[in-house]
Order: sequence, then structure tokens, then C-alpha cells
Amino acid sequence: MFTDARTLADQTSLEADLAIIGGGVAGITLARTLAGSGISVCVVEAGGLEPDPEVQSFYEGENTGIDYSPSATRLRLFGGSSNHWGGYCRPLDAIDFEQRDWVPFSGWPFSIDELIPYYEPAAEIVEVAPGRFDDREYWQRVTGEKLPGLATGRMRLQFVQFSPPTRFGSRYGDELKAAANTRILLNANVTRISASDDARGVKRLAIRTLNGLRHNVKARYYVLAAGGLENARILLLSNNVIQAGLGNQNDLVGRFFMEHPHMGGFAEMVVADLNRLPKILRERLMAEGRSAKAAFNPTQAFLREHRLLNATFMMGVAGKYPADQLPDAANANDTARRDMLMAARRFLTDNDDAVKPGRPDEFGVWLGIGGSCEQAPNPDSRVSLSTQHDALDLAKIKLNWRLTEQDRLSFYTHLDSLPLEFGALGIGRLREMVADQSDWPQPLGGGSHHMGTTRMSDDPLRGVVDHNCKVHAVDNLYVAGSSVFPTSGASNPTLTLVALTLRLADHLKGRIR
Amino acid sequence: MTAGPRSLYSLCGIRRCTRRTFLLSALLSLTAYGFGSNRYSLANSGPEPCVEPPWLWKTIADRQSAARIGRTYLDAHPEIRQCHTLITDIERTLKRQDTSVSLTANADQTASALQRLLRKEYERGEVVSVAGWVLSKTEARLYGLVAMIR
Repeated sequence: MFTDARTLADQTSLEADLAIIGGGVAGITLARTLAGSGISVCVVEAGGLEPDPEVQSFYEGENTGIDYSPSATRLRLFGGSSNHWGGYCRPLDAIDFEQRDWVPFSGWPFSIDELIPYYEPAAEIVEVAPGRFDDREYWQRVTGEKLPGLATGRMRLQFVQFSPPTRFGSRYGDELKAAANTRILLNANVTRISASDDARGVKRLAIRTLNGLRHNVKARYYVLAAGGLENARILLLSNNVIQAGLGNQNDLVGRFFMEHPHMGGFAEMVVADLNRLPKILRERLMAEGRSAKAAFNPTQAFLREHRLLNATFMMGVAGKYPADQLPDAANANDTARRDMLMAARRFLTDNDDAVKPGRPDEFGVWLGIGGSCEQAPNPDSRVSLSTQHDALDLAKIKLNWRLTEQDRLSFYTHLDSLPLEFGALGIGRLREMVADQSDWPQPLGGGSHHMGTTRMSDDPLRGVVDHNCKVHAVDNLYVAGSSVFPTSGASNPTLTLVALTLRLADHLKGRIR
Repeated sequence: MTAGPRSLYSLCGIRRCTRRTFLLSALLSLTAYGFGSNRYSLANSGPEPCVEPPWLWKTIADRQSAARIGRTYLDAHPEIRQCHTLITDIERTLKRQDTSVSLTANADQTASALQRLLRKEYERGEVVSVAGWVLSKTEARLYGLVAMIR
């Protein structure tokens, strides 16, 4: 059932076994999983079914770190940020879960084995199943192209699979609407998670609407699933008992904010013979109803040996050079690419003729390369409360996204691996476009991935939630979403956060019954 | 670039070269580079006459492009701006990589061995940066050699 909180009588009190704050990817996944379970669920969503600029403006905030928009990187409506999701899916790597002595604050409370049973069901939910993320043989077979075996031991090929992308609100809304045990409360802003006097439990959710109504939702259990920025904000705003905010007795809520730094324009590659660069390495391919593209990731052995953070690189054809077109002498990049294509031709083609093209219509292409990387958990990279307030007079977020030298050096080490791989295979020549590696390549942005602000650890001094995603010292409050990631890996977080949510659902089913 | 006597003529100036000076030039060149290495021809490249290894043009497809890259490389590495140094270095590296390769027997074979060497150098991370291009050391030297020969 959908209910618009603006249409309820003022001071309405709703009750359920489980209240879920946020109707985005995690919230909808959790509600769906519990549909028909006999557990009554109330999903409290701040937005409506359609985008609304006034509602969206509640996501604005102050930014004091790397240039970053807190409002443009998330959406406040039913379905949440899946409404602008790009659909990239790949599980985290096993090493991402490990405590690595060269990565401060690393280590999940469990290994990847704990999540493996949930990744395939998660792949079904985001409509990419079956997951073939490491299945090189499969992609060779369905694309009909032999994939190169990388030679240096630095990099490996993995496969990103693309969700349609699943817009969780429209894709699963009707299903939830029909679920007898589920109520979706729309346009309901949670202004506070009210704790019991001893702060060991949650009593209710305080809710306000933009037309001036106040309601509350009471439940036996609560799950905070409002996204990596808003989860921290709501806990910090919930300070009726603990002044620093609920779950924040150790000053961890909002800290360790992580993104995946995304870069482009830092390198390009020329290729004289596209037969040497299988299509799936340079474009999304559709095969057997699945869309995928190869990604270059560092091997775990290389990460260990050089004590590096994880990273992902992908590439795509950016320009072609027809055989009968003269270079533009005024364009230095054009000249440089053509020179390299011509000079290295015999190293890059099987054709001994210097000018005969690898394909009939062109003598080479150049490819752009994009990269994203893991950033080390950093307590100074954080979300806190601003002195600015929104229309409900609640403090907005203050975001201070920071990166470290370790993050940057790690990225550049991986960048230096790429020309070695492509050179060793005779595929192409790579040009690094960053003159000064003492700074990040520009533009530097994020992937709208908000992680780490309610990190998971069984040690309350190192994490906001425990391995079950329960807030330490609060008996009936859980957190879902990528805010619980202790480290980020270099995979897009959606698939993993769905898998974690399914795991949480199993835990809650056992606990609520 | 043409191999053989035409390059030798260039040593003394093709119009004014007498039979005597030509023979003298030829003798000097053979002495300088070893009697057993008459596989090489010579070309002008400024003050130092440069030797064209026969495998070079089996390896490099386009001289002008290679020379432009090679000049950039040599500008950053003036200490190796000598034909003999470059050739010796390339051949020594090649022999170290592939002891069976014969530098005199077959230019095609040598060119193939060079290709394998380049790939190995990338694999081992033996690379240099030339105007941002990450090139194997031997590849950069090859382009440098072309720049000197042209």
C-alpha cells in the first residue's frame, strides 16, 4: 500500500514490526524480501513517486572538501538514486574484505565467502543474472573473440555487467503496493530517530511533511536505509539522548566518507589493428540478453606485493583515423597519435605494409581511458552537520571529501601498468597525459558512491554497526546500504549493497519472528 | 633510405667524388665499423656518419614519424645521441634477450626478434617516457636511431 503522508491526519501514529527509513535500493530490496513473510513493514520515504525540485533541494548541503555536489549525486524520491543509476555491476574482490596492513582501518568483519551466497540473488534483483563477472571463457564463447592473456602479472581482466538499469521504484513498486504486509509512506521526512532514555533502543521515528504535518512511526525494529550521506545526517540529528547523535558515542558517525575517485583524460591509447583489441574490451556488448564490458583490474598479487589500493580501468574508442585523411597539423594531439600509429605500425599489426590499414577504412584509432580507484578509509573525510538549515529547520550536511597521498600514488602505479600490458601484447601504445603526478588528474570527480559513513566493525571503537549491520549499543536499529562498507574496493557498490541487504533480511527474519 | 654505395657516395659528395676518394671513404668506413660488418650502409646525420643496420627498415614502418618521436627521445637523452652507441645498445640488448639471433644472417629474423624483445621489455617494465608515450627502451632507441639516420 502507498500512503502519502501529507494526506494523513496530523499526528498520525503508524505501527509495524519493521520500519525502514528510505525507499531506495536497499529499502525496497529489504521490503520486497520481507513481503509475504508475516512481518509488517513500513517504508518511510522522504520523496514521492516523481522527482520534485522542492523535495530534492533537501539534499543540498555545504561542501568544504573536493568539489562535489551533495544534491546532484543522489535522488530524493521513491526508488532513490537508482533513478539515475548507470547500472554498473561487479562484486567486490576477495582482497577488499581483508585487513591489509598497508590500508589503515581496512578489514570487514567477514570475508567475501559470507556474501557469495547473496551475490547471485542480488544479480537477479538488478537484472544481470547470472553473474559472469570473472567468467572469461563464457565471454570468449559468446562474443566469438579470443581474449588476450595479460602478461605482466599486474592486471587482470574482469567483466562489468550492466543492469538495464533497474529503476527500483518503477520496477518493484507495484509488487510492494500489492504486498499485504507492506506500507510505503511517501513524502515523509524522518526528522529524528527517537531513542529510549538509556539510548539502548529506538522508540519511534519522528516524521514531518512539507505541508506542516507531524506523524510518527513505531516499530519493533528499524533499518536506516537513506543513503550514505543521509544515514549519517539522520543519526547525527537524532540527538535527543546522546548529544553527539545516535550511535555516535565514539565519534564515528559520518567519518570515513569514501567515494570512488573517477578520472578521465589522464591517458589515451592508439591501436593500429582493432583485431588485436577484442570488442568487449572497448565497448559494451550484448550477448544472450546480457550487456557487459571488460575492465582492467590489478591482480591481488600485485596489490599485495606493492601494497596498493584497488582500481578499475575501462576504455572506449574516442576517434578514428581514416586512411585517406591527412593529419591536422595544427592539432598536436592528432599529430602525436598519427606519428605513433605510423612509427610503431609494424609492432602493432600483422601487416608488414606501412600504410596499408588494419581495416579497409582506417589506419588506426585512439581510445580514451577512464579509471576509478579505491580510497583508503580516512577519518578526516567526513559528513557532519552544517550550520545551515533546510526548510524543516534541520541542519544540512557538511561534506568534506578528502583523499590522501596514498590514494593518489596507488592510482598512478596502476596507471603505469596499463602501457606495459598493452605493449606486452602488441595491442597499442599508451600516452600518459598527466605531466605532474604530484596532483590528481583533472577533472577529478566521484561516481555518486557514498560509502563508509556508518562503517561496519565488531569493535565499537572502529565501527558504527556490527557484522549484522546493527548499530552498536542500540538493540533494534540497523543500517543498510553502502554507508556500512568499511572499505570500498573499486567496484560500483550497488550489487554489493543489495547482497548485504539480502543478508540483513535473513538476519531480521530470524530475529523478528 | 637506400642501402649500399649510394650512401657511401654521400660521404664525399656525389658530384665531386673521385674514384680515389670514394675508395678511401669506403675503406675508412669498413675499418671504422669492422671488416666483418659490411652489412651496414652509411648515411649522413650531421657531424657523425650514421650506420643503417639492415634490420632497421624491416622494423620501422614510417621514417618521418619515427624520427619525430626519436628526436624527442634524444633531446631528453643527449648522452646516447650517437649512432654507434644506439646500435650497439640495441644489438647487445637483443643478443642478451635472444642468444640465438644472428644479427647478420637475416634482417627479417632480426626484425622479428626485435619485436619479441620489445614485448618482453613492456612485460618487464623496461620502459621510458617520450612526450608522455610509454615506450620500451629499445623501441625508443630505435626511433632515436631513425632520427639520427635521417
